[in-house]
Amino acid sequence: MFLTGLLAVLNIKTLILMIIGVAVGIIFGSVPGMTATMAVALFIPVTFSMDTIPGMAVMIALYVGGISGGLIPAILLNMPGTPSSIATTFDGYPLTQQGKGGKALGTAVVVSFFGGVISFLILSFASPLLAKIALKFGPFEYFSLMLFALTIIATVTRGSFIMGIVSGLIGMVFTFVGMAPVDGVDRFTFGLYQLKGGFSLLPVLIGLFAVSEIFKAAESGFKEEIQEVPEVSGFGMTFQEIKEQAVNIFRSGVVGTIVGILPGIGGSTASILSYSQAKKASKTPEKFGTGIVDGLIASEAANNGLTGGALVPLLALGIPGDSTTAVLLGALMIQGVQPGPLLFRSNPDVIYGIFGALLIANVIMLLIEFFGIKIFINILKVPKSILLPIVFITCALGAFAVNNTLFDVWVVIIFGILGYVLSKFGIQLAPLIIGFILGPMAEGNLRRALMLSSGSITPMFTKPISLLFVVATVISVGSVIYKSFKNKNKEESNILA
Amino acid sequence: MAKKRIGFGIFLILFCTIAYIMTYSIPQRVQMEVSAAFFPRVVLIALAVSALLVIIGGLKEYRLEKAQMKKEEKGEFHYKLLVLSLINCLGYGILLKPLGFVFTSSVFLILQMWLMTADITKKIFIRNTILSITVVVALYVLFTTVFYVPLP
Repeated sequence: MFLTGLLAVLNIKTLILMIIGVAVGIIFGSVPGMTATMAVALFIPVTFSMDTIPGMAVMIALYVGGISGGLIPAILLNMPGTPSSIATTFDGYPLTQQGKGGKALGTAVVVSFFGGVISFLILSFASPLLAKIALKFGPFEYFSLMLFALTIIATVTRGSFIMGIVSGLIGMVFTFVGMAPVDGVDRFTFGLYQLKGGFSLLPVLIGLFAVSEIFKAAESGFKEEIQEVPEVSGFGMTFQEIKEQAVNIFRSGVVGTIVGILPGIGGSTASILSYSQAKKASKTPEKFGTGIVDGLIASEAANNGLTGGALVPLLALGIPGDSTTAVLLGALMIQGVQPGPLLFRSNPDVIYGIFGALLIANVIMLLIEFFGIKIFINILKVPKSILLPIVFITCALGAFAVNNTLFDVWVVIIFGILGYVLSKFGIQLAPLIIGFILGPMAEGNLRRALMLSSGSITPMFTKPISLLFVVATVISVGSVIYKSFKNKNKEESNILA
Repeated sequence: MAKKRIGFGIFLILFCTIAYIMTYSIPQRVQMEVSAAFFPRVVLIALAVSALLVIIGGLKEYRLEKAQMKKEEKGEFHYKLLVLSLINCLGYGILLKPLGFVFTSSVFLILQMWLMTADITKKIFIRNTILSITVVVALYVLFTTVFYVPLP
């Protein structure tokens, strides 16, 4: 059955369309302000005249290319091209600063491929079973998962732990503007209708990460640091290195896939969670954030692992796993295909065609990005005096295109200024954006959970999956406190000595 | 840095106090176990407590710096460039709707590239101008005619 699906995709016309799809997806993913979701949404009309399988194959190609493309500016410019690439900046950009930009790009491309293949394998063999597990996740389970995910703030904080907590809480405060989850009550809108919808993630992200760079560069007098463009040879990752990182790659791909299976969580959480787990499992956790390949691998394998995972609830239950698969759901329905449990019986050719397209898209992505590394790396030669202003315009354009409103352009500018000002006081962007992403999910699920249990918090400790995440949270917080005391005692004994 | 931390901590506590008072004006339309004001209040309290810890940490750091007679090393700070870049970005936001995407973006790019280029010559200025207009027009055509995204 799988071979039938694969053969349906392996024809010249579909392959050419997929190559174009992956390339366009990479371009969308690599431009800050544009996303994989935008790429898929804009190209839906192109698929109207196509048959179902080629049409879906093009959509999948755009999805895979778009998610993967975010690594390019994340590594070279410290600007995540997509929300999924936030964690890639933590170690990707420091690697570029060390003159290892080419190696970082090559490594990220290779592990993205592996992450995609891992999710393809899980999707192909276990999607109906995994979909059943995803159905067991209710509001208490989601809330406990969010609590656990929030402990990531401790992992990604560099330097003062308290400032990391403050950063995360400030991120959450920004999410209180707009309509409250569940009951839709207006909060902190000051009577302005533009604030009713709150702040969208994309304009906030590109404002904080990309626009604030302009002000940081202005403060230092726009001094150009002449970047040496490193020589790139091969894939940037040797077979020996792949063997050494096999556990990290596999774990990260699985984390990404599992997070993708849970609807509504998204690629940013997947890559950050994977990064956090890689840091905890590492023998040298103190090196994370300074330009270590392990951190880069964890992020990129996870965010590409998400692509297959997000297709599980979409195909098996008709529930989109993230915003891009929500658009894919629309594309499927336009093609006359109704996703859900019966799809596996009524249209197995479509299912296996999509599986085949996912595998082929990952191969195409690997090849395009491999040959493209030598071109991408030349971004470093473009003076920042030209690059940064153009990035600002594309950010503004991308923000405008999200909701077709000038308000989002203002959000980009204001958060760019805020990002710059907050950085002066030691506020870190990574924990801030984690608080921004996870805060509303935690609040919404807590409120829904308490509604269902008539105000009782007990089910959080009696439901098995929820209890598992609560225990994991306690262990995670405990280990941070323990390490903190251990380091403090070590410092004190060093001083005494 | 210690003084900055203390000042920031005080500002945060004031902010949290004002925001907490404002949560009392959040309406409750439907009787719920947890109101829409609950989570903001919890986070604001946590932020205020954290801000207090920041102030305490800042005071410790200040005493240490004073005892060691440390002076904060200040690097070069180009106020003029920063303020001009800020005005350029804000001006872009204000003028985008009335003057349109093509004109506003072109002017923004030309001005920002001029600000950001040290030792700008006439040749570089002309190159940047041509590049700015080309990029903006290309983006405009791509979004309006290929993607059908209407722009201001």
